[in-house]
Amino acid sequence: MVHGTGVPDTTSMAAIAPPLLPDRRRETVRVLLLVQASIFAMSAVEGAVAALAFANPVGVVGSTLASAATLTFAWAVGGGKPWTVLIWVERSLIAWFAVDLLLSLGVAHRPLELVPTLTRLVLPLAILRLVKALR
Amino acid sequence: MTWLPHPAAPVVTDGYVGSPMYSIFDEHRTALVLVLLMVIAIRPLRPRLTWTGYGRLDHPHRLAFWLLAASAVVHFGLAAGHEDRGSQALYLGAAASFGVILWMMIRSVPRWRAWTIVVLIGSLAGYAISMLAGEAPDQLGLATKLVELTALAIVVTPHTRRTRLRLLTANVAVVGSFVLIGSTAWLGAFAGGGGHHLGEVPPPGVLIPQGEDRAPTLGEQIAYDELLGEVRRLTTRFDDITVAAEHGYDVDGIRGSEFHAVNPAHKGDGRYFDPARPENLIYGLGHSGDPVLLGVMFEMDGIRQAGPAVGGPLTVWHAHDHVCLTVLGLGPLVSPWGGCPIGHVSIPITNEMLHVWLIPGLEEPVGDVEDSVVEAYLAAH
Repeated sequence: MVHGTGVPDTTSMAAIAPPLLPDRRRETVRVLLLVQASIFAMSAVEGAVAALAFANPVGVVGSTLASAATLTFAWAVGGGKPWTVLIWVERSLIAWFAVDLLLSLGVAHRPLELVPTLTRLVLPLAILRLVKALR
Repeated sequence: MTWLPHPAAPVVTDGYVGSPMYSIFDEHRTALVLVLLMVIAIRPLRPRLTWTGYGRLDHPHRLAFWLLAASAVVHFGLAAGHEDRGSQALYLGAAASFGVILWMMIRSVPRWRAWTIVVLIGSLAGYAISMLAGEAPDQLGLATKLVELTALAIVVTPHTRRTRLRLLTANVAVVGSFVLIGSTAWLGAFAGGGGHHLGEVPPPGVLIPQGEDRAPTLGEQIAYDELLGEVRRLTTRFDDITVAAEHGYDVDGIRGSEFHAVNPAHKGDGRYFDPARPENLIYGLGHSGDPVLLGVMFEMDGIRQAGPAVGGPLTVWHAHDHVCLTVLGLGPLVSPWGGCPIGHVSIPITNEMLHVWLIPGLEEPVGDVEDSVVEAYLAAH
């Protein structure tokens, strides 16, 4: 059986399942965290450019730390269970999205666009849902 | 570059012309509708797919399946939305390629993973090349690349003979791909726009009123000349920052090449475009390290309040959108991946503003000025 799915382990697809992670949903969490870390890495690059232009290091420092922390989470998913911290991190990201959404609705009278909705709401929600199911 | 579907294409929102990076091209709306329908259909479709081999996929590969399906649907919708045959052929080819790898995936065809990586890299590379050639990114294109990069992250993760080195290599490749595609999106966005005149495409983060450029009337030219004269006469006293401070401008911590010293008493005072009361003075640090007055910036009191264009096309006001802001000041623009760096909030739109530059010899002292001109002027002081 493929753990956690109830699917017989009789196909060539199932044969590629890694033995390292007992529940394959953890592998999904790992990938989604990697995506999130990659987005933070891009923000760190943008923050570095802004730091040069506006002498404001908040973005590059904050996003570099966030990217490193999320990558660490992604690596730890298979072994330890840093679920509680991760849940709070993802909730914080959703709260941050809510602040920007309220700003956009209040100031520009329109919701946030497609990409921020995917990266800052759908992605954290998906991670949260999986993590809660795995706890 | 005529082979590009949207080179230097502007998007009009609420009367402002802006960069398409934060909008969706009209030709892409069919694809958006189709992919939304697909998302709605996933739940009822899933149980019916068991006979196809979908049921044998593990959790991450089921996610990859739907991500690849979304990309296939988007490319099909893009073919339907564009009229030129070249674009249609490219999009249909991409949709068919994604369809084939979906079939290979659920049938567990040997080397399906390698072929999936090839198709994904091909699609991502095609996007990057079009951006580098001057194509403008939009939200649907960026969302599709986000979906493809996530699918790539799943399929490049080693599933057999997993070692730390192989996993690290895969992770670095994924992070690098996100940064690479995001960077090319920036290049495409800035290649397509840079104008500040009516009828031009502004760069990302800048909104200009919708309209056509034209020659100024005699009355507008006279008003423009009078405005320039008044601004120069009334603001040269602020060369001395102590005088500026006495008049309420916040000149503490002047740094960089375009520091805006705001006067809180002038903001929201109901007096617009008054040469005696500009809302901001603009300073830069000269070669000697002393502040140099570069110009002034007028600002309206409210969002979408149109600035008085007394000089017609010579005095085009602009606003900013998708600006990241933190307690320490300005940050970058909102990323192609949708967010600001940690610690920032996204300001969706600002009041309209207009710069008047005091740098001698400028052909157009009202509006935008090249950074190189400012830097050369500062270097000489």
